[in-house]
Amino acid sequence: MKAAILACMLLSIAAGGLYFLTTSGAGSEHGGWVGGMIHPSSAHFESPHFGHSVEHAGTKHEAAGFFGQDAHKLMYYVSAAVGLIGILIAAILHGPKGWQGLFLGNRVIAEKSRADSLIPLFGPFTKIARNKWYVDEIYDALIVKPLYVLSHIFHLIDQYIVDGIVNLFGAIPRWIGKALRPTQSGEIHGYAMGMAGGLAVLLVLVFVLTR
Amino acid sequence: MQQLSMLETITSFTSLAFAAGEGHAASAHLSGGGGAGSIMREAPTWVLAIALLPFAAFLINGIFAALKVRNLLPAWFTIATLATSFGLTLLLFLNNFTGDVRTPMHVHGFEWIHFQWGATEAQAFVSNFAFYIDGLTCLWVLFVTGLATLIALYSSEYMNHDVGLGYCRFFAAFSLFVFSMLVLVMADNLLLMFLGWEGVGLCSYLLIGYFYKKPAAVAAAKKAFIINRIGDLGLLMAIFSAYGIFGTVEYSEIFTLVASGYDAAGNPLAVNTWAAIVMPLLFTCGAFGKSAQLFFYVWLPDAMEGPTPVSALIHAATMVTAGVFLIARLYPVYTIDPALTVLTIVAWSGALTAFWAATIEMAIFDIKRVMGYSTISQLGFMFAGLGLLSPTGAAFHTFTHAFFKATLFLGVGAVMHGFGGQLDLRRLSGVAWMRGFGLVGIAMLVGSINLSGVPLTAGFFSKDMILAQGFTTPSSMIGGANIVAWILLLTAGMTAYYTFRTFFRVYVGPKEFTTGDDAELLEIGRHPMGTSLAEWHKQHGHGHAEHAERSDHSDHSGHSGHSGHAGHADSGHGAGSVAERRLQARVDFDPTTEEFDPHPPASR
Repeated sequence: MKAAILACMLLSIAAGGLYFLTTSGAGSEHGGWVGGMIHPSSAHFESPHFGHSVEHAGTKHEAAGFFGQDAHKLMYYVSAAVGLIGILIAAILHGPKGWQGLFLGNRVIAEKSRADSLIPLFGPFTKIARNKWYVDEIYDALIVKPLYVLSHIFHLIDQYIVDGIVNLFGAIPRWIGKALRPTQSGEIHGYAMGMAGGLAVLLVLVFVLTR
Repeated sequence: MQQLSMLETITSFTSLAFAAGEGHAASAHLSGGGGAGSIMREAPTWVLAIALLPFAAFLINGIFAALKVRNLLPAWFTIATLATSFGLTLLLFLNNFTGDVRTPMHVHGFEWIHFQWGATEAQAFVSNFAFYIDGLTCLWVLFVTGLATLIALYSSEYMNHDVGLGYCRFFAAFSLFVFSMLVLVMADNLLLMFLGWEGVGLCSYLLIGYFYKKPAAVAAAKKAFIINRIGDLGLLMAIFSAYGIFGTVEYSEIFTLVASGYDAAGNPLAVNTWAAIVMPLLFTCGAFGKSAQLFFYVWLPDAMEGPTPVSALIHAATMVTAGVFLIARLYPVYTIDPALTVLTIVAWSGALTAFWAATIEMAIFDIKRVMGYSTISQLGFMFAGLGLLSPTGAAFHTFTHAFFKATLFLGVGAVMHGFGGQLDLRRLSGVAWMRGFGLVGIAMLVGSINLSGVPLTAGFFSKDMILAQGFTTPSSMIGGANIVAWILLLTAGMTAYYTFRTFFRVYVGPKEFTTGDDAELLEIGRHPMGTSLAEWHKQHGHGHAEHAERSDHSDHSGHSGHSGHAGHADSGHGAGSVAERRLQARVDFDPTTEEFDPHPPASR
């Protein structure tokens, strides 16, 4: 575990070091060794419509740059400053007393820090952000619940209408059987009556059809 | 037969829609421009082993599970396999991508799918198990195999409270993940890429739900799987479209056709709205799902329910960058449209995702979820880089982010392991000064300065490349490129703030801690770095007792972040009782006296 963390840490330093070495030398490619791998690959921006690459060629275009300066040079300083400002704010708001908080913080216990006094400034936004903008709740209300209701409706349709039709076809012979069952009572007179009646019907049919 | 006729339907539909009844012409004669795929080098056959070795590890871990191996063998076997894979990758990189010739390489494995519905070559669908390796692939394979080896090494100890069947299951899924990820990045056609794409989704599901007795983990796994399916629907439709337009799914042929400016039937691509806008948009949909961009990101913070090494490897370093890889791989397709509409959408959506996630991170208290949202935010930077016409910046940021975010996650995992699953930054302070945690503190500092973009760190250079490109790309090409860059610059400041908020709260300052309530970890009772918790309680008076009364009055917001722990204690009980009830139901049934009824009364 220790070794893995150490190796991971060293690799993250090495990636930066390698980049620095491959970009700082004279005649080095843009993007260092990574650029050297990406440029000949499918991810290189080169389109038939533009004929050349915009990447690292910004100065050729109008409306480019950062306050009229070359963004690729100036951005090193700007982004460094932005990052350091972020860290300083964190040190002021959350840093402990003394050098560990860069002499800016005043936190003495784990639970509270100076940032807590700033919460009222943001009104309801702290609570909203802390609850992840209620996205899960919104999805639950807009997608999950309606789907749940819809699937319940379909379940009911399946249970009563679709199954109902299937069951109806199964039930019809059962009803007919139920209606005819009393005729099979075992009484000879009844059967003789039926035979005579059937014979009569047949005779009538033959008579009518052969006329 | 059915598949054949379905294919015929698709083909006839596509030829109607795109080719004006002409059918598919052979693409070979259309290679006019010097596309990325025009000159190819043959790669040695052993390159196949880079991906197949982890697959072998998956199978053998399955055998270990069947043999009920109850020691660290699965871990060491996996580590050795992945290390070999990484060694081969290094060999590939040093031999082929450091010299002057860096054209793509190709290696053929076997014919995977071949449908033939006519005599001509165009009336066939072919997808090979073959690899297309260019600088982009090589970069991805380097960090996937390298980090997987290190994280497997870390997991061998992190997961050892579960030695036995669970341990085998973990390493089997881990190896299968690495295989899928390698197939995803090395595939030479869209269909094989999709196999890897679904494979990583499956392994992500299996590993988020690793603690399957914990309802929060199961719910998170399901959520990740379902939301990814929505994105994958878009990707699948995009692959259908690509086949319809180009008549092939092979990258090299697609790139040749795009460079020529004509589709398989000889019609110009740029005026075809489907090819220029709809198809890239569908690809983007797939990429957004896998890479957790707006509005698909909700699964990624929940995925933190999985074991921490899984979060480090899958949900920070590798799988979630598959979307970035997909767009970078298909960059020629994205540039068919002269107005670059889809890339503009990608740029804006990336910047807004980065900003959106950063606002959440500044407020929440759960340090593992801070890292989860931070990953979403950094993925936003990568997408913005792709959209701002800096694929190099995006790929570079993916590469550096993989290392420093893995470092940060492994550090968080060590803290979590040492303090019984405690993740609340208001319950921990001065961890770096506690015995055994010095290295964790240093690692977290290194990771934090990288993430914040402190000068001369890797994270600084890669983020800077994207930001600078944002101010360089003219608005005539990417609408509002400069506004996107300003949003990213603001987000970079917020990133530095929330990263060091965690660092200043948890790792430095007065030594203080409250242990979490993960009973399993407390039972082990050992810090990962060798000091037992009980020893700590003896040495430092302030442990549980002093902070016990503090934990109740701040529960209103602090525990909203990790509902998993609240439900943990009774979850095991709940699962047990369900199983008991099932068992009870089966015992009650007596086949000798009761008639078996296949249809329960409710369905009648």
